[in-house]
Amino acid sequence: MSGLFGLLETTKLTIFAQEMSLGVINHNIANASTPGYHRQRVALSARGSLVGLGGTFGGGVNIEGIERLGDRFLSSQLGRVSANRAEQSALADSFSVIETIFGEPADDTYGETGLGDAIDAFLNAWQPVVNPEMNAEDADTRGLILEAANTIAHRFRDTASALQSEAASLRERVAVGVREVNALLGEVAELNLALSSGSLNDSARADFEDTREVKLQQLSALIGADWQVDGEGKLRVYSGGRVLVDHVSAHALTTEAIEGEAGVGGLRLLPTGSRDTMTLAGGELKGLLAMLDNELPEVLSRLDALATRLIERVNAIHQAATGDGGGGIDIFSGNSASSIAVNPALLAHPEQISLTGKLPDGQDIAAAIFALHTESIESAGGLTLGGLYSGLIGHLGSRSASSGQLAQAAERLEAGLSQKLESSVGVSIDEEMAQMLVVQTTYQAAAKVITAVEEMLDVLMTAL
Amino acid sequence: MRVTQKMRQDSMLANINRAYDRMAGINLQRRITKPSDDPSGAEQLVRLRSLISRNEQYQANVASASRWLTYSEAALGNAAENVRSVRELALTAADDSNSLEGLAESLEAILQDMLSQANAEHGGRYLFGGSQGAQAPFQRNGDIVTYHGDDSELSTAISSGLSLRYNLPGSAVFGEQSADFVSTKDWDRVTDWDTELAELFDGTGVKPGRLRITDGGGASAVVDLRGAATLAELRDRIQAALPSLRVNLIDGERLEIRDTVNGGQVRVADVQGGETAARLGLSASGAGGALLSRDLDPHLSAGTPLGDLRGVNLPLGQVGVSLAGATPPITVDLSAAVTVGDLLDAFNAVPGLTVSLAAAGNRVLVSGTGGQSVALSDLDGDATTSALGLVGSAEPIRPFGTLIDLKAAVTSGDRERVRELLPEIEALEDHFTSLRATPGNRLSLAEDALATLEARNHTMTSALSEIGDADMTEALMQYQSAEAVYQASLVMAANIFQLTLTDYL
Repeated sequence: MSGLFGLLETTKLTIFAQEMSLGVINHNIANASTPGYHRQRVALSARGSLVGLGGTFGGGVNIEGIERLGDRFLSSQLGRVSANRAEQSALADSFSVIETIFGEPADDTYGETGLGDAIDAFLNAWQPVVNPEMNAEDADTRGLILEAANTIAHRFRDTASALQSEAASLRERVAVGVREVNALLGEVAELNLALSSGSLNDSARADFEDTREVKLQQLSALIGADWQVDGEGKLRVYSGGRVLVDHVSAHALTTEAIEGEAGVGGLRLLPTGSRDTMTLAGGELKGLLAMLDNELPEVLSRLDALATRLIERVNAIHQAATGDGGGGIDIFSGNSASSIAVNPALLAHPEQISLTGKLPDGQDIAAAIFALHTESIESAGGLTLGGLYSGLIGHLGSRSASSGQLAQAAERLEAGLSQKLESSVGVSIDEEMAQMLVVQTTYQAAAKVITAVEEMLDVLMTAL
Repeated sequence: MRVTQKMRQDSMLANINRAYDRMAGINLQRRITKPSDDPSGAEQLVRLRSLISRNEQYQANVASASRWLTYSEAALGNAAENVRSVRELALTAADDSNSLEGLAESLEAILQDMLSQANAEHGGRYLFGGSQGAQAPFQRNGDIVTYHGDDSELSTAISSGLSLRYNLPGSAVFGEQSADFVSTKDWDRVTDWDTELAELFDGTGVKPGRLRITDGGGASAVVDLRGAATLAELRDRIQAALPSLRVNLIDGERLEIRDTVNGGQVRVADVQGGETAARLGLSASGAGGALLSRDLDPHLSAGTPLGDLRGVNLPLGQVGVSLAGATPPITVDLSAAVTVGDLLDAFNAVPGLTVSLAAAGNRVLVSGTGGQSVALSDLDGDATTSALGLVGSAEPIRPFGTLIDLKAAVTSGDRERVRELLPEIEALEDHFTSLRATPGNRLSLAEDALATLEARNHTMTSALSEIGDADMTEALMQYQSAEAVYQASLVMAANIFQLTLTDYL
């Protein structure tokens, strides 16, 4: 096939190709802000040569198909970084909630008081007794002491229950996360099935792949999932050393409660039907589980230690006090931060509080209670009550600060990588515009060729 | 690198967010709003707050005790004024040329005021009731005033390990005290080599430890004195360790360590926390480089022979004892006394007289029992009393008793009895004058303590502010620069998003 009609045929191909390119440009622009969208291009190639009278010349353009551009490696790298960021953010978020629960450092200027202040106030509460003017009415002093004791008990219980409800909300978030993960795993398997059917056209395939990549990224952020495509184009999703999606089949996850210390039960994650706990490589769920299994119990057990030591020491002193109608009875009942309460017997009979009683060693009860400020307690590793509390705040602060800093660093890394990925796969409107100009001009030129062929045919026709 | 719209959008948004966070995160008042802002700083803040709370409690205690002491001082001052008026009234009554009319009424008024001073209250508590602050400590029933408080001394913590006593128990102020005085002279027991180390320094003793001794020639040795009981053992061990040294007893009261061979300066130091040298007070005050101890003052006991006492010559003579102003004095014969115990027994055989070893120093305490005055004096031609340092007299302190007796004497016109009571009234005046100083002294102690506490509070509060508060100037500067950055990124975003190729096609 050659000659002028042949030229018309070639030009037709050119026009088709440009129309298609315009279509793809349109698709790109339409999806410029679609998450996970990879820009597409019409793959063109030069057609084999035609033999003419004077020799051979090119046969026009061939449409090879629609290409999905992008760097596959960057995408899974971004997944790992997101997993780390999501893990640290989960920790940092939860720590900042715990920091709010403690409300330290409190500042009188703003009318704030912390648990530490309540303890100090209680240890000071006996002082009015030795304080000559304030003990005119013993009932008042006993009322003050009861009040201070009650405040401590409340602060402890409130703090403990706020920590418990943080644990409950973490458990809820894990449950939601697991549901989300299971849905995503199913969707990825379905997408794998769709992608493996031969009936898809290039454009639809590219769009499915985009969708699947978005899901995979979400899985990374949740459970630190990693993925691989084998030689046959089958995709596997891994996490914690297990295959969660094997091409078209997905394995759902489930959680199981584990007995924890300090009344905060942790959770473990395992694949449905298995007994093996999964150890996640990263992801929000890893952060949530770490918070639930380690960090929160640590804070609670430190708080419990403080409450227990306070209860033990104060009770021991008051038990030993004799004289002045009181003493020999516990001030606090309970044995932990969540169970501490003022001994109900005292509430009914405040006169059992010893105000000026003496200990066997001759010390005044007021002095002995006040000395708890500085007494280093053997069962607390030689720390004072204040030391236990400031240690708890310091621990909380440094854990929170370090997870916050790690989250920030991971966030920056994630932003950098996602910029890099976007640079590779994203749609640049300017670029599409320039491309459109090329397509438009080519189309115009092709049209010009048709006009020229037509004119040439006209000349031929009239000459005949 | 390709730059897509979304990239521009993302990075713009990230920049704007970051600039906003920085701007919003600047707190003009507080540097640490949560522990993670500065974990160690937050820990220090918590600790400081606890210290400050304790310090403030101390301040409250001191302030409260000071007010109590101020009121006590005022009450004692009034009581002293009352006694002065009583003395003037007594002097008036003692003079036969004055009329006694109206004096009894004045005395009754003073008595009543005295009672109200003794029952002074502050903040609903009686100042002079000891720990029984809720009921009036002194109750008058006709001519008898009884004390219902106790002897408790009340104190309040004013600093770590320091407490301030703020009350004077009424028994010691308005209660009756027997007449007593302490002998004027130390009964100095001669120290000899058999004197036990435990007896030294009024029986407080010396615990022998290890000494490093260097003689005048520079030779040095560690002398282990542990287990040594007497001064002789101490001497022998030192001389055995360093043969150049000689240990001597000077004047029967001090030890001397002298280098008789080299003649140079002898030095001694305690080894490992010992306190032998320090307790003995060994110092280089001896002549020719010798060490001299302080006065060894062995303890006096009932069994000490009178012959061992310096300046006492046996046999002793007789002492004149006058109880309740009786004349002539009773004669106590001490000539048979051999030991200190014999001497005390001879005195104590007199009804109404108690003589005992004083709690501190090698002295004796002479007291008249049953509210009698007591006086010891030399008898004619016998200086035994002066030689023993026992000359002295004391009146009993009976604040209410004296006043009531005086009023009775005035009412019945018994001027002789009035004159008899004069020394007691004078003693009472001294009693209140000296007591009056006690709250004052404690007040100045309290003031010092308060100043220290305030200074400490100031230091801790400034530390608290230094750690916890933001430097306002710096924070403002940071805020302004953060705000500028935020505005700039907003302007930039607004402009950059307008730039697209479509505008030029």
